[in-house]
Amino acid sequence: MDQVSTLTSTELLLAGMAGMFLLALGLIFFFLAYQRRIIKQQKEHQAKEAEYQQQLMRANLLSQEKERNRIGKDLHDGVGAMLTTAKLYFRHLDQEVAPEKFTELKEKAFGLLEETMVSVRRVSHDLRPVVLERLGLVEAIANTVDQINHAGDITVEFKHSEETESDKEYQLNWYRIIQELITNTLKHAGANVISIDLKGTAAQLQVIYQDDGVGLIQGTQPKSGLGIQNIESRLGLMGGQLEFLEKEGSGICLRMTSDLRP
Amino acid sequence: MSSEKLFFTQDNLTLLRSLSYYLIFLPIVISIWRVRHLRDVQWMILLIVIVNLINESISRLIFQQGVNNLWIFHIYVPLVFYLTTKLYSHRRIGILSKKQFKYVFLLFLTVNLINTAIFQPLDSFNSNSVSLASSVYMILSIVFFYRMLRKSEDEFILSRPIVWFNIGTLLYYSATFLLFMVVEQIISNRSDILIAAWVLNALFYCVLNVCYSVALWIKSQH
Repeated sequence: MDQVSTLTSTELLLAGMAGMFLLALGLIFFFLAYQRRIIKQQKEHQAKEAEYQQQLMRANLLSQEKERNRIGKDLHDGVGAMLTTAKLYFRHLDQEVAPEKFTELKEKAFGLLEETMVSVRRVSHDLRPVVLERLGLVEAIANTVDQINHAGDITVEFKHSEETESDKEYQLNWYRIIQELITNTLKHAGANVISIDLKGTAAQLQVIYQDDGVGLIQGTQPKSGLGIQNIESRLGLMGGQLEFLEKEGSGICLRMTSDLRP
Repeated sequence: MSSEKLFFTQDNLTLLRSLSYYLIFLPIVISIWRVRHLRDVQWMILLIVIVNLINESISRLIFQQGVNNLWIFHIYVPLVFYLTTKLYSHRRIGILSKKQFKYVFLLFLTVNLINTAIFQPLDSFNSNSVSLASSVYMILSIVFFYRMLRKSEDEFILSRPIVWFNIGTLLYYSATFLLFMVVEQIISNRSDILIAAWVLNALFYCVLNVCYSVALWIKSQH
């Protein structure tokens, strides 16, 4: 009996020691395996993040090229053509013509120069809006909103808090973002109303943009469009972010935030 | 005869004890070979190995004289505790702050002195102190692994000497914790249990020294 209990004690002790050793070994393997898994996940996440940043950069470059092409076309087809025609009229003015003909040619040439100046102003405004430069972001958006409301196709409601002083480049970025959103709504959404709510705090600028259009296409990722990627790219430069919010009824609702300055 | 009785014999115990003793020299030889590449954490590990070697050598010598050698462990255990907790409080490892290290060591030292004075005098094995030290080491090593997971530093975690030190510490002190808890009870009983337990202890001590060797072999990237 004593021998049996002693043997059992031996087995128990040895089993206990071996068991503790195996438990510790198991714990070590678990930690090592889990740590490798975490690192693998981190690397995958970093790769996805890098790919996404590249996509944003590509979208940004594409957008810039598109803009340059449009401006180039405007200058060539609009301004260039008008100046060429004006030159022809001035050439005729040089020759000896009847006074009535001279006046007619002179009026036409001045008319063309007037139109050329309007086109150049428009192109220049597109490149760098004067209202934004002189009066700030709120006035620039208000000006754009007024122009659209005046056209009568769609109603744009613009609410804003007291204007917060922000960096000039950031203001331009925000202006472009609002322009992009409005253009998208006008082109694709078929909306009747756009609502823009701009709020500034001591540290951040927030814009909530909503429309009552068709909303996002079913089955697409919210951030897959070139326009949205452009917006994200601009927001990213300002330390900001873009969120798609739930909205009652049809349309989209975006909340965008950014820092006020670099 | 059962395989258990074939393995857990006095001869095997003597053999394994010798092996575990000579294996202490492995990390020392490696550290001499790699002396130019040793970083501060590795120097601290080497110091622990040296203290282990001195303890084993002196206790063997005294035992061979037929004199009680258990008083050595009353000095060895707090000394190794000091070095091990100091290692875990190193700025690169940071498991314990300097303040925590001080308090933990002073508390342990106090408990150790009380244990020696009242419960387990110098001529008996200080299993209480050893068990307490083992518990602290196990906790520190688990906390180290947990913090390692939280930080999720680099892929080559096994290229860090402290990781191997930690592996060895957790394996050895987990495996022998039970032994040191009950050794007092089994010393007075049948010797075959004791032999079996010390055979395993010697085996695990070999594992510990192999881990120390790897820790000193690695060329630390940090």
